[in-house]
Amino acid sequence: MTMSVTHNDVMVGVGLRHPNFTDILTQTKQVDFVEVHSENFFGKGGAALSVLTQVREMYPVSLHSTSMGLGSKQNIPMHYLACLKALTEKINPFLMSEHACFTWGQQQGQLIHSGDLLPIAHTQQTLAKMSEQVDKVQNFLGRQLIIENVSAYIKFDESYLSEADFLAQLCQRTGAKVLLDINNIAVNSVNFEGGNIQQSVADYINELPIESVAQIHLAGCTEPLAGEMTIDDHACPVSDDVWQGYKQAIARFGPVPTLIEWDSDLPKWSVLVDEAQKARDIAHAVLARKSK
Amino acid sequence: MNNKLLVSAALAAVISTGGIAPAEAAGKKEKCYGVAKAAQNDCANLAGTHSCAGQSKVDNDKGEWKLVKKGTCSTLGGLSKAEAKKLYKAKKGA
Amino acid sequence: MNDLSNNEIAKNEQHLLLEAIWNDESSALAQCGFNTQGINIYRRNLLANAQRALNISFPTVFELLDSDISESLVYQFLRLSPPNLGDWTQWGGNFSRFLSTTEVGADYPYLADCAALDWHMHCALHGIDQTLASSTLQLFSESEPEQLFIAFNQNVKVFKTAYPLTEIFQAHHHSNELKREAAMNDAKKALSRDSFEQIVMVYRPEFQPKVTTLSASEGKFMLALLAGKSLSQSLDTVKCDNEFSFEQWLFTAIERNLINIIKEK
Repeated sequence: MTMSVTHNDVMVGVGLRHPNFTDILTQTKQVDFVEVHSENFFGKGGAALSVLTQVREMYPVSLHSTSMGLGSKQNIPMHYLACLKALTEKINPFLMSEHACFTWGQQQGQLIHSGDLLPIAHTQQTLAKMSEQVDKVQNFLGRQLIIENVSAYIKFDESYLSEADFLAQLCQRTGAKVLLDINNIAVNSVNFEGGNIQQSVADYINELPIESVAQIHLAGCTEPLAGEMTIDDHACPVSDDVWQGYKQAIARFGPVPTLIEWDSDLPKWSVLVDEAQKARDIAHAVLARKSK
Repeated sequence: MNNKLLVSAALAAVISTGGIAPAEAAGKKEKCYGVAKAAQNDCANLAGTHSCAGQSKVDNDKGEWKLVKKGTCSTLGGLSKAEAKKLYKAKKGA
Repeated sequence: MNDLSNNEIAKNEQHLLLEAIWNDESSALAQCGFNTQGINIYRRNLLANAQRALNISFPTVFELLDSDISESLVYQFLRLSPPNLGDWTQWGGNFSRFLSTTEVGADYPYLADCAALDWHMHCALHGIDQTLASSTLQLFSESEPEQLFIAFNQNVKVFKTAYPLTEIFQAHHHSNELKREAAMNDAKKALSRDSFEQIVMVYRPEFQPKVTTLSASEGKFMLALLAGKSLSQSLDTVKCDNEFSFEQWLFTAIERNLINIIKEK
């Protein structure tokens, strides 16, 4: 499927989750694309894959992987990549993304998967290993990867590069692009940088080269209790700070595909569609101002 | 009847009743979106919102399991020998 | 293949973080050097993901158990059999075997078999889409049954159990409440008997996997075919069972989408 996109058109999509399968297949088209988590469709067949195949006939699909762990020091196992490649060939996604995190490791000599997006040390050593893995996966899949900044709950003392600088260098080395999750910057700002979210987001955005960003994620999370860390639960509407950051991102990076991500306490489909419309309106307003 | 006759007669019977149209061709196609189960992979963090996310409340060493009180095993029952064993343990612990 | 030596692994920060999350003795937390609040978030998320995954894959088992005990079982299973595929959907293939080694599995010995049934249903839900290659049915009239073999749909599983699994399953998942109650009563009755045997079959007509009990002769016949015996050999195993009708079996097998292809040796 090809989409003709005029210069100022921003494709706005929503994360498609199980409770909305009926909505997406039975309602008229209200979003430009959908994004799903690749691993949820690794089965060889069955109902979920059939849903996705039907959705693909109606919408461009972005495959967002959650387990690949491109920043792992352990090599990504071939069985994982084979599953992902099979799905990629079935769905022919218009975007393929992952996170700048690690997931694979060893415990007592056995391979384990963390089941979580664990943070990486932002060092030249990690960058070298991760560039190698990104190259390998891009070659294996025959596709460009878009790599997302992550929310974190610990920091490594070893890090001396900023995450934005790390991602910019990674893209330069591998030809990959950045998936900018503005809420993840906000979460890390609260957890590690004193919580001046707007400043953290602005700094992050300005550190990324203009042509490096290929997708934006917008999500919201529950306010933490006093003294607790913010946990990125994707359970809330996008916050005002994140919308503010989105304006800056569109102003700097132009009309990049934008996704509303909501995973826990999922609202009605119409609420997701409304959030997507809000993103579209904001992007249009920023782009209109820019082109004047 | 020998097996060969039995098998070919069965096929003939099935064909004559129109039975070789597989379930889906009968026009009552299932809706896949009604069948798919909730997914298990996610990139949101469940530590805050998920009710099951607490640390284990159960101390295995002390045998303080509430066992199946709220589960349906309590309706179905276990083995009488095991019940006796549990009773014995409970008494010993008291 | 691991391209780091053990020594290097011991020094690597990713290994240390994994260890801090997985080894949750309180002393380990104090010594790991990471922010304890942060490590606790990762630990809770790991357990919550594991719990959610198993709850979805083993819906009967988690109805049978109290939530307190199931949380403890998830915790133990996670440590005994950590995920290594990068897909929570595929995690839990040995949960049934694990349950059989636990105290609760000994007290309620049908739990492990219920887990095996749940797992077959779960795998069938995500299994390959297969339908009968109906042209191969012609072999039934053209070839010798000694030379014929049936390749079943990959989502078909047949196994023997000493517990009323079909009834226990229906008691929890049947859409009709009265049917659920009736199944629960049947299960209770069967469990109170001294000896019991059931041959259970999982199959997938289209998308929804189903479970049913096979009669002794159907079970014998299907197990023979599934073990790779020829059609003729399999028919011989039920030759003396008057209740078995191949014609009836074939009709039902097609209706239930059990057969993928008929093969000639």
